[in-house]
Amino acid sequence: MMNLTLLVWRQKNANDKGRFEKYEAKNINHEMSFLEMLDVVNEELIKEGKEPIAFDHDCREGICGMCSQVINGVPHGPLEKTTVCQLHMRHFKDGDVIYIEPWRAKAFPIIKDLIVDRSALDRIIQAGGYISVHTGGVPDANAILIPKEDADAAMDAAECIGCGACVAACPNGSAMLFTAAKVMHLAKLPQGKIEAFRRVCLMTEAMQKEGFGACSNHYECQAACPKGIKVSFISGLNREFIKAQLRSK
Amino acid sequence: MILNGKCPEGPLHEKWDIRRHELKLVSPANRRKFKIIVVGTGLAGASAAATLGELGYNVEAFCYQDSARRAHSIAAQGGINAAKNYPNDGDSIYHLFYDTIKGGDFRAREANVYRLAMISNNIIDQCVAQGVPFARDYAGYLDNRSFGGAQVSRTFYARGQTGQQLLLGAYSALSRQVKAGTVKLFPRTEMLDLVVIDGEAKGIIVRDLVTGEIRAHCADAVCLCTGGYSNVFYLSTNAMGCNVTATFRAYKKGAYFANPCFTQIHPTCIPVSGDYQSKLTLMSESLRNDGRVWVPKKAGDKRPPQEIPEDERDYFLERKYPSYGNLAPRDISSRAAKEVCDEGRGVGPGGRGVYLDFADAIRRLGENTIRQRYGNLFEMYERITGEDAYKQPMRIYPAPHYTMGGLWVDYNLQSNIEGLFVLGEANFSDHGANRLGASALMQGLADGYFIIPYTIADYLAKTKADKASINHPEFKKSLDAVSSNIKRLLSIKGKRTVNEFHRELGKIMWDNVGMARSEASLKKALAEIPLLREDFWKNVRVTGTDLELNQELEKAGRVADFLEFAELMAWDALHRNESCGGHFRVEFQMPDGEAKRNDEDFCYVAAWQYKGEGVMPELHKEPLVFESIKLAVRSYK
Amino acid sequence: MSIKGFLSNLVGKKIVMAVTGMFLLFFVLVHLLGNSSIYLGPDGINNYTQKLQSMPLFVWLFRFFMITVFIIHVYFGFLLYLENKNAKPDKYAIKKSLRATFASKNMIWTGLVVFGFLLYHLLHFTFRVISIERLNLDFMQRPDVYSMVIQGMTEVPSIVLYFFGLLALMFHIFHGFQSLFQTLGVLSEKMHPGLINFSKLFAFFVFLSYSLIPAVIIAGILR
Repeated sequence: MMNLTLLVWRQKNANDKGRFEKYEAKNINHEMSFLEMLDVVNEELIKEGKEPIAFDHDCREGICGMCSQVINGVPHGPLEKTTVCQLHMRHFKDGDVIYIEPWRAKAFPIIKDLIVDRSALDRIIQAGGYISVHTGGVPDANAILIPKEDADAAMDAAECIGCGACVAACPNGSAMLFTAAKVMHLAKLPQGKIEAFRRVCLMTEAMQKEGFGACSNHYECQAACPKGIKVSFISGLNREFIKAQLRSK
Repeated sequence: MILNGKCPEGPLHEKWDIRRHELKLVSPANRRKFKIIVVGTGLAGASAAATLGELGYNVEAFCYQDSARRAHSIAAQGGINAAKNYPNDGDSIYHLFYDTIKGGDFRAREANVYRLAMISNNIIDQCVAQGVPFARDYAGYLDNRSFGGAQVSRTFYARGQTGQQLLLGAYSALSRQVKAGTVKLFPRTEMLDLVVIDGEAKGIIVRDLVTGEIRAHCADAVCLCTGGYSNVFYLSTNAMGCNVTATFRAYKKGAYFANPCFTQIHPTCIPVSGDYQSKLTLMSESLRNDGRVWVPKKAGDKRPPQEIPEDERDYFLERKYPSYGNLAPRDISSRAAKEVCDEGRGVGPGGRGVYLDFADAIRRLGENTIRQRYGNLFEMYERITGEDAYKQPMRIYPAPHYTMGGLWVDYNLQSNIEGLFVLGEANFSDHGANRLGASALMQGLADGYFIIPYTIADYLAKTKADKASINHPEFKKSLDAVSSNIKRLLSIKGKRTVNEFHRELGKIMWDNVGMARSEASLKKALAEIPLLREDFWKNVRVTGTDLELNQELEKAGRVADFLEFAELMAWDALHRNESCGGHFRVEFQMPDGEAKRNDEDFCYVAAWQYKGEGVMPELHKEPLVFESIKLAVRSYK
Repeated sequence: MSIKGFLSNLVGKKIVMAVTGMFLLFFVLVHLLGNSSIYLGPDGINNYTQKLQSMPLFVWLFRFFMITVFIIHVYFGFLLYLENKNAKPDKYAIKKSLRATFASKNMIWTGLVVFGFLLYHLLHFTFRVISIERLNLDFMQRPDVYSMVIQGMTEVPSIVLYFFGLLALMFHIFHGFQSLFQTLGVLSEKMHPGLINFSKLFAFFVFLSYSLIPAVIIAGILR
């Protein structure tokens, strides 16, 4: 059992200025997840008639990408390759002071407390993050052979859960790792190659339009990514972009 | 009333073709005049919305998450079945069909299941074309693995994240249609009521979860793809937001709810560690391919697992089911685990757990192979428990995971309300009393990609576009009802939190309507649920206001529905005087403890019609007719 | 994509930075090589200077090219800096850097210091408007760059400025060198950690080799 001091960002809505508020989390079990710890704090707040802390969460098994908190200056907290929901309290000590903040970036406006609007990421995908295939009328699955290395590399990129930690971690608020993961997932596959050049141009344009910054190769994103998506995919995106330029001339 | 599933006449393997020939079409020019609402963006919802959008319909898609990509289908780990027979191990459409219907303990509609098996192959083709990175061998061909309840390798997978990859595929198709302008997305929007006009579903009432605005949306048809209701148990492997609200509100508007007592308890989940537990985490069933399940032979044996010698271990699945062993179907494995724990032989804190041991597999294949196969699962296990499963056996315990029951639909996936279609886990149709592993993904995508586009056209062709308008008095009535319900929740200002009620309901359900049910336990639940519900409406504390983002209010609405729905589940379980699949009634078992089915009296779908809060609903039966197969005792020995 | 589209795309802008950065790096090396002729004594560097002066067209074309590249690099650097700053308007109360380095976070500042130093350096040695040194002719009637440098490198303020300029350049290259490979998309996952280390070594090498000249002058080895 341990007691913690939380400094949590509270902001009523998008127009509110927002501030840190201090909460004591008492009798926290080591086996709890970080979100279960917040549940306990919220139950107390409700009983006191106060508004609980609003935070995004859903699957609580590290795959939906909903949870989004910067804990002591690190998106998803101190444990590598772990979402907040999979972060357990055994990684904290009695008496710890914990700062909890929302993702911060121009493209992610705050909705309430720790909840931000990440629909900009959806719009990047809508710009071209797909293979333009209609349902039906496709060849047999084994008619498209894909070397195992390519399929594995595509899968490495496709593991992205779209949580936006890369944006939160990036000093430039850039969504390059997110965009690169989708671009490279599809560029590695023969089905995706056909539209690859168009895709990379459309998606990077959309990213800029949404107000994300450019990549300065700080590599903070890879360190913060709960799925360990590699910055080499950003290099890959750049390569695809250059190829697209050369091809179009 | 005797319900008719409206299956086409003809030989089993031709039924779907026959039906497709019968179905009316809507011409491309007319399609854009029809508006279709799709609620939920999981595998069924996303694939349906995308495909209907591709066809040119005017689609509105809703989800409560902040993005369509986050629906809980994303959490499916293991894989998706298809009768491709790529490994040449004797598989066929018929085998997949038979395994699925037998796995469901002969409580599913034959024609539906056969169609599902047929379509399974198209799904794999479609997903590959979309760029889903399925596992491949070194020659570049697709790889397969085996799964519970099957003797062939027919499961396609993408590492331990098959659901994620399939959902991202459907989501990308959906995104493409959003760009094309055929689909309009409404994330962070929750459906709170169904609007039925003259017996036809013509719209929904939603709450914008950011602004709190209550809004009406009308359409020519409504598709509910809103998943299952495992969260009635509070602790389940479902996401925190999964709820019964959409289907339950449709039920209250007259849609029949079928087989609500058929719930699946998944055998391989990480055990509960304390009262604060908010959800249970599933470990893919594929672990049972290489892991061996055991408990100590002696009750109360507290030695660490390494110190228990081989002859003092009970590999109970291998002992009881020698031919399927550790790969026995989910319901059977779960119940076996519960039994040994009830005997006091459970392991871990609280004694609710059994070992899943990889020591033999590591010896046989090496740690590296195991790491390659299950690395991410072992990591996940370590993150949650702090234990290294390469060094000591995992501890697992069953947890509510999937619900086979759902809104009643006919062969066309249309409910008894015209124009209301129900897809995926939200309907009851394909899994009978138990679902086999890697079948949920298959069903969701089959419904969305390959069935609804045909069957919805038939309905639309018979109706006139733009019949509905949100100015219709029914919309006004629904809006008022939804608003006053929200006002009521906020006005109680009691002392107990929503979670407390949900937890308490979960305990009632798990103890009495869980893995093993008896007449006494069900009656106990039926006595306790109304009291709890009454207490809820007197004592619940919902903070905040309605016109803002208010997570407590969202939860309160969902729990309020669970509190009514739980009763329906118990009634259904009580009426079904047999044991089958996930529904195990202790009064009905073989001498050796296996489920004892009663085909004489219960070979039917139980579809319940709402008759008022706390009032016993009316039972309608759809007899299950098996033309092509013989009912058999479901044995995995 | 049009040129305009390319230049307004944020990946396009990064590629401009990388390509111009590559030329500037190239210049740093060529300049180093040229300067190294000082180790051969007055004969070396004065000869080198005379050679250059005998090809005015080439020198001016080269200068024009480098100035253009430099201006583009600075312009896009600023543009990206402002855009990136704009994309992250609110700061965290606490922010831990996981991978970002002093060098990566301060490219704009090290760049500005290098820019300032370059101006000083040009005014000092090329246009000779700052210092009192005069460029005389040596005994072979060549411009006596050698003496000018020796003289210039014995003044304390000049040495201090030179040192800080080099330090900034080192940090700039430290991040910029590997960054240009990443941006041009030639990095594979396997090469990445190696290149980051090589980048550090390379930056240090540039710093050391440029520092060597004033060092040997101060030490009195060259006089």
